[in-house]
Amino acid sequence: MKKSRFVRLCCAMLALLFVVNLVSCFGGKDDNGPDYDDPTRNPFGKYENTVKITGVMEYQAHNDSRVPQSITPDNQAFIRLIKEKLNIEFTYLWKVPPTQYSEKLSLSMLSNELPDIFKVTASDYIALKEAGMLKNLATAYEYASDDVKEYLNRDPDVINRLTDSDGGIYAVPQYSDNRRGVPVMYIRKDWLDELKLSVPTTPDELYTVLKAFKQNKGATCGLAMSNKVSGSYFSISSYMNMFGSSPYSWLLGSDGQLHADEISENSKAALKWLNKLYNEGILAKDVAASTVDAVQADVLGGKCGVVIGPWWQFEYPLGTAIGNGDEWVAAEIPLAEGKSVVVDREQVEFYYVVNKACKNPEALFKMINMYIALDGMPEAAPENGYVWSWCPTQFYDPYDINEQFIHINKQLEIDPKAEGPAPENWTAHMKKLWNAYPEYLIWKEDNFATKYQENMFANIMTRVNKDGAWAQIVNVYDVKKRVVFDEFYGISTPAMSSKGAIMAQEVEEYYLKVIMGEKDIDSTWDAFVSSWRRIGGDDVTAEVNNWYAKQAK
Amino acid sequence: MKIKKSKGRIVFEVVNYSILAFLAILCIIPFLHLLAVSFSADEFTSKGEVFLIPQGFTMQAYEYLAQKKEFFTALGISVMRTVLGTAISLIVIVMTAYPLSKTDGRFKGRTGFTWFFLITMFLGGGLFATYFLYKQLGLLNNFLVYILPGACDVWFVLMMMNFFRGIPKEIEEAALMDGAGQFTVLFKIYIPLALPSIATIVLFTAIGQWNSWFDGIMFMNDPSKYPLQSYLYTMIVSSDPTKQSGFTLTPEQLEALKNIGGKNLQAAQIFLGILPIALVFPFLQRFFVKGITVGSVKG
Repeated sequence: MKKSRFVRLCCAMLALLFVVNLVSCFGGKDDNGPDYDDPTRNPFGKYENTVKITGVMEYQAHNDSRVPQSITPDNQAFIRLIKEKLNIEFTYLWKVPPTQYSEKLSLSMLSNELPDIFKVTASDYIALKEAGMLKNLATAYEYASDDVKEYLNRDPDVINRLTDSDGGIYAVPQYSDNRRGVPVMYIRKDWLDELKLSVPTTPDELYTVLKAFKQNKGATCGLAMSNKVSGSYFSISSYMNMFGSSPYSWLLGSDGQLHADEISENSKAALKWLNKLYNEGILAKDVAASTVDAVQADVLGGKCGVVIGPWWQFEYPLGTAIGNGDEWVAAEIPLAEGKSVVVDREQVEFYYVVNKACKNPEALFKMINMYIALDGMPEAAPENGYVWSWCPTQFYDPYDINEQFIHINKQLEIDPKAEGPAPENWTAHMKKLWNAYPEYLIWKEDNFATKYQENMFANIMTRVNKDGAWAQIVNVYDVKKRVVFDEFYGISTPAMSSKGAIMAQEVEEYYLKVIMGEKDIDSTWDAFVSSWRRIGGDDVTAEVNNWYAKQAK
Repeated sequence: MKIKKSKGRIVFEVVNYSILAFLAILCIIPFLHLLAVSFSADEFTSKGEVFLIPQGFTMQAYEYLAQKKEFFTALGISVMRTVLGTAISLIVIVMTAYPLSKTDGRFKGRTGFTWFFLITMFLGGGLFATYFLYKQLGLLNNFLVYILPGACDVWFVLMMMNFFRGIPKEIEEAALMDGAGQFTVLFKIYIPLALPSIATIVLFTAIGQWNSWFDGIMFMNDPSKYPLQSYLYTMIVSSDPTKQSGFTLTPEQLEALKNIGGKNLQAAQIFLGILPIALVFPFLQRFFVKGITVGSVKG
């Protein structure tokens, strides 16, 4: 994950430096006339005169068979509802697949065709802000509904960091709970029971279990690990996390400086452990050629008994295996003694920004309010032509999963079988989980004999159960507090942009060679570290620490 | 005339044919695999258990596709751009190559014109400049953007030009002597003689047209105007879960991830995407014959 984001940032930066320069020559539209003002700051106030707002779209087909065939992004229910309820006439200037979004957005900036509201990455946001092309949203923030205000302030630091010293704020951040970065271990419970083993709690115990899986269950792919150091799942770094290692993260050292973790002693220990596994034939022989797809086939095909990965692995792809009768359970990541998992200090997915020329910046908030308010309402059903992924202002509570976990478990203490109705003030997602819970209990007590409902049951195993995936994260993060933070959350520095790709390549190649024993780690580690420093590591470290010193002020 | 085969010759042929057959099989296997996956049930494809024989035979993917309007719209656009694009390209290429194939003596300034075309082979404007140009020409969000910008492929012009030059000029002289004009010479003599080259150009242009996806995505503002390959790109590549951003999938994104059509659906779409263009090959094959000009001129 880290690397792809990193590379994307690098590319976007380069493109933007160029674009913003050009755009500042062209200049924006004239802005005469005052902005719209509603002294009551009504979050759902309907405009008297139709307000025209333009946007752009990251287009993905929806694949939901409940949505009527005639529905397109332009006539879907959300667009219709904001016209009806807010008198906002929304049009898309263009739609493009997510992978081409930033390129197309650059083209729009260049040709001076920016939409009124749009989504940007951190580096785009900073570049646009410095070019003076963004609207100050300080007043618009007052239009946020209570729910949206609460969500935005889950972690008040995020908004504080975004606000200028004069109170100006130029973006709405969509961030997420850093608990989501805590990896969870998933393990074949049926195999453990059969071999009379208990759930491993340290890397050494995990090693014993993996050996037994290999010998007795024919697990040819011991760990569900692809050949990518970072990635959304099955990445090498999620396994390295057991040793407190997290490549491409920046950790605070005892000297008060930030250090790149890809060259840390923790990473060395993690690689050594993986190499031991490889030498004993526990890892897949062709680990250098293991794509995520290939590993996934092994996991679903019963050739792998342990996955360490993100919180949603029950929901995807393990749900399929569970439906087929494989018994997977979640457990805490087996941390080496004294080690902690690494999570991001701040994780902003994207920023909503408003074009400086727009007279109705509050429309952004009204639309976000509407998106949140429509969640789970009957008019927002797919059958009525509502496609959430086509809404221009998707927004979610950063702490949504944690909230679901806490509230549903609280209610289950009163009503353990979920026989009563769900409390009125719950979100639609909570209610959905609650309503599916009784059937889940039947399925579980029936020894999985009844029909498995992939989506809902996997949701419950992830988000509700006290022994589910999220519960493990709460244990590690809130109870045992075994987390350290990746302190660097700035945009990529100049040296990162110019040298980051080469450095990452060096890391990926070296790691795989060490895991597969082509290079001996003890004799080559120092050479690897000095080579990493030489090709750019020192420059990047200096820049990152410069950045860090500025944040502290 | 029959050549008597020596032992060495037979050995050579056996080895030769087996190597070629092996290569042919290597080329066909991916298609068969795709076909097998498209007919298999998802529980087998997700485990990677399907190779060449469908497991849990099902037509579900094709049934689903049959009622998917977007797929057929995109297919229609692809067919249109391939047919129109190839036809227009061919006309433009031949009409450009013919005069350029004449000698300097007969076409003054020929070298200048040749360079005019050649330069575009070495220098391109890049995406930003191209986008601007198309915008000013009104090509954005316009079907013609699939056809016009690439219509005159200089590489093919050069190829055609060289082929025309290879045709003995005595043939042309004879025709002119008999009172034919330049158009008669071109259409009655040069084009029939150049059929192998023309077939090559048709094939490459058609395949190029069929396979291009980037222009649709960059220059069209609406997915309903995408050709098939751009459509497949949005369906398959950009919905790839491994490209999602890590730990932070929203509940909705997860839901969508689970609703991504199974591997069989993807395979079915890719297979149907290849099929039409694959069918063009056999029809063009017979034109790949050289040596038609042999013996047309005595002396």
